[in-house]
Amino acid sequence: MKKISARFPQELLDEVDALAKLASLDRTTIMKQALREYLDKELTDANLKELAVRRFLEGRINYQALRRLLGPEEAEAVRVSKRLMDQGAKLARKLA
Amino acid sequence: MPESLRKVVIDSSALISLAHGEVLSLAVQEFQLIISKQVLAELEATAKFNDLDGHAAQHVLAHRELLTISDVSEIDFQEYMGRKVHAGEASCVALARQAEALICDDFDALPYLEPHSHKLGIVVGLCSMLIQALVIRGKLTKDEARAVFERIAEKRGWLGRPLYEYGRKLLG
Repeated sequence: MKKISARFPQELLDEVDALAKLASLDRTTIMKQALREYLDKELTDANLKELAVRRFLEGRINYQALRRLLGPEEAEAVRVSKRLMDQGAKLARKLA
Repeated sequence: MPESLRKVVIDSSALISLAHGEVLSLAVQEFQLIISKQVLAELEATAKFNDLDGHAAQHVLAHRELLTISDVSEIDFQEYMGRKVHAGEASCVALARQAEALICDDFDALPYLEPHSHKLGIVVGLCSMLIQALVIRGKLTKDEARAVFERIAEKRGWLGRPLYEYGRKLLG
């Protein structure tokens, strides 16, 4: 676990605290759960997956990040396809 | 079909890409494109759908006479099959031993085809390799090839779209 510092609006924290009291949970547990649910929902979205692939192809995120975002199978499909496309120019000369 | 054409084994996904890119007619003139009966069956199944891939498969089937259809028995490609590698791709691996390259645009299957291709000494590429070869031969200008990649990208989903755009960038 890593400790981070972040700023939140007071009203949002009040809501979190109210829920924490109601559900007998601590603030951190609720925020972790909310963040997880948000990421799970958003990362199923094709647009974000496409963005992750683009960022990887541009060299702006590494393979480990791509793997975390897409899962191992889809990330590997992108990595291998990119490598084959990179090699393609050289191999195309043999076909030409 | 002239004997001198370079032999390339191609799967249904790559043929559909070439059709999307409106470059299939040129590719069949420039290469001996070899497909298996299993790939033909996949194209026939896809052609039944009234969508972009269905229309592209219909276009490929309209060029059927210009494709070389090879018979390969299941026993010869069974070992290459897997959860992501279906009969079409696996049969292409078996055929590719007699060809210069295997062209496959099935991104999900490629990681699983690679170990077999390494073992068998098969050159594997995506349709981008054929497009680049057409540029090197002077059959497509770079601008025309960029337009081909753009047309393919437009018709592919979240995974294919950025990859074909990447292919366009690699043209320089």
